[in-house]
Amino acid sequence: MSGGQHEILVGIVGFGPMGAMHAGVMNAMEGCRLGAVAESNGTVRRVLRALRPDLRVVKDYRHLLDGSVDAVVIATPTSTHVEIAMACAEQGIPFLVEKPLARTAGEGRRLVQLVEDSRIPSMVGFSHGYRSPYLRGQQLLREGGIGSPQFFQASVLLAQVFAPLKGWRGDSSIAGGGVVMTHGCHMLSILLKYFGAPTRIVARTQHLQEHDVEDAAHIMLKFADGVEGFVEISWSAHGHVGFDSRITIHGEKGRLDVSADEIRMCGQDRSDPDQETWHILTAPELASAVPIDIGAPEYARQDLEFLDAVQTGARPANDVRHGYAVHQVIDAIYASARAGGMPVEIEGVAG
Amino acid sequence: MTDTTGILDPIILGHNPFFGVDHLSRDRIPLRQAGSGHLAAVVEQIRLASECGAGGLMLPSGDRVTPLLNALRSEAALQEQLHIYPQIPHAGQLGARATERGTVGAVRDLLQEAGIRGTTSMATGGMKALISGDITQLLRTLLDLELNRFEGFHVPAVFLHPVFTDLALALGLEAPFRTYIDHLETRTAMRPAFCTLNLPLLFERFDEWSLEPPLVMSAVNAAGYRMNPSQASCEQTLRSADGPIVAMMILAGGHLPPDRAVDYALQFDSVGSVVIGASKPAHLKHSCRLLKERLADR
Repeated sequence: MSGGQHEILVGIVGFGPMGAMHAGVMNAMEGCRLGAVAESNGTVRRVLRALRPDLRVVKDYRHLLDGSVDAVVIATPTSTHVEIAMACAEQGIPFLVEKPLARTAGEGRRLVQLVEDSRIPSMVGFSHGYRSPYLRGQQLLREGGIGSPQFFQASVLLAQVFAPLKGWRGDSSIAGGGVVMTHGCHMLSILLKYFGAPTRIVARTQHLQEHDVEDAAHIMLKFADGVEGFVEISWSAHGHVGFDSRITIHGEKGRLDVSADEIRMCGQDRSDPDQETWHILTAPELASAVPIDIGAPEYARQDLEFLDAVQTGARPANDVRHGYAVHQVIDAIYASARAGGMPVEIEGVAG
Repeated sequence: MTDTTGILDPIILGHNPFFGVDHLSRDRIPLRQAGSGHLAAVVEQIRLASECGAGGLMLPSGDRVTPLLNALRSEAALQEQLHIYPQIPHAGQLGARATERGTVGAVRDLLQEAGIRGTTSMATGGMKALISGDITQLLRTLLDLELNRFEGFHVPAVFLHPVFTDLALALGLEAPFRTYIDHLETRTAMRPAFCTLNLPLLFERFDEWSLEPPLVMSAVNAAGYRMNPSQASCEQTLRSADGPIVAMMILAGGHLPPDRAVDYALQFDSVGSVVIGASKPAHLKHSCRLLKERLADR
């Protein structure tokens, strides 16, 4: 945040783990302050009022849109995202909506139109793209570090769901889908930034637990510039710690491995063209300090970009147009899976 | 050097090699995937660390620590000489539950499970506090439930997990800090301590709230990794702090050589203890020897 500009008051809709995290990050940022919280649960409201008597805490999000806050973070269940974001946009209030943007691309289309027409800063919370190795990976690709990308393998694997989900994430009418929607969207967002617009998708999904959302997906994507690759996504994969995402990209001149931990780049040795050499950069080498770190630095990087957009009107990389593009891909994945893995051609996806 | 005699051990074995709590330690024998043979190997590693001079063991909370605690309970001599430093609560487990069930649902589940485990009075008290919105009583009950796991061990200090410390700091929530400190100081023999990735902010807030300088654990490494808002400002705090500060992540996820890592951490007088993470016996012996030498030279 640059100095000399007025303080941004942020309102949070939904004070679950993500809402609380955004509230903390933004409250600790220079030039920004938590202004109000809308939370539907009465116990959470009581606790918040007890902890922060100075804070305005309301039940209905609409009470936040009365001009008392400059920006809103939407961290509610997916089925409510579009309604709340539309209300913000109609009032001209910039918003950051947690991922995914909506339950389907169709649901989000009208919101994208409204935001584009009104030029309101918007963001979708694909925070994993703000991890240092993924940011550097994008830069290396742009600089031609491995030449033109040709094919890739990517994965998002978590040891998280081994029993039927009890809450809203297991209910497709609220969540819109399962692991692809909840976790896979981070990798899809990264792939769109790395390779542009996909044109063809072949996918299979697996239901491993007794809930109505998928637990694993096996996806093949083809991009407009010819890059092709596979993505494995599951939250029912034993042996993984935390959010284990990684991608290997093979290019005409080398190979790039990116994970949350490090970047490895293999290319031709300058002194000996017959030899290949590896360059390795670990997360500590790639990382930079952030104004506030609550569990992971990428949240601060993401929220800084959003707050900068609120101040300057700049367009964040993960705006609703990008969120909508990710959703077009997710819809195609589900369409292909429903058709037993038949290819689905898509066009008009903004990369 | 800050006098931590009688409070904290100068060398504390970290839990990352056993639990694989982050991405950087992922491939190092995570305990939760382990069978009984592996559990025995972990106990041997802890015994070796103790023999090498690591008087303390940092442990996370949550269900997955229970098998290790039970294994240590069957080693009377080791249990007697070892100091346990719990890091509570288990943020990942609690966060996942809260995302799935809502914050209130997650707390309710925890209390119900406590009732099933036999701590009925605590669970009932917690439920009453939850229903009435008595946040102080609820926090006290949740603390007791967490600490119950470590019964029978020497626990000199309890560290609040960085996600909770840093979230409360960022939101400017003074009351939970006061409750945490008061509960441990008045109702237990354990010292309240805090793990943070935002060291200057913690000291700033404690000063603002007129709280005593706390026992703190924070990232201290020559790479500046997880030292926020900048390495320079953390160094300034490390120089001016009354301490005692426990240095963690000194190797920056294995990025730094041990000699450089130890020299960097111990240049600050406020650093009274160092958390070491070593997955191999040879590394463990080397790190302990290095630390003992450097500590003796101070």
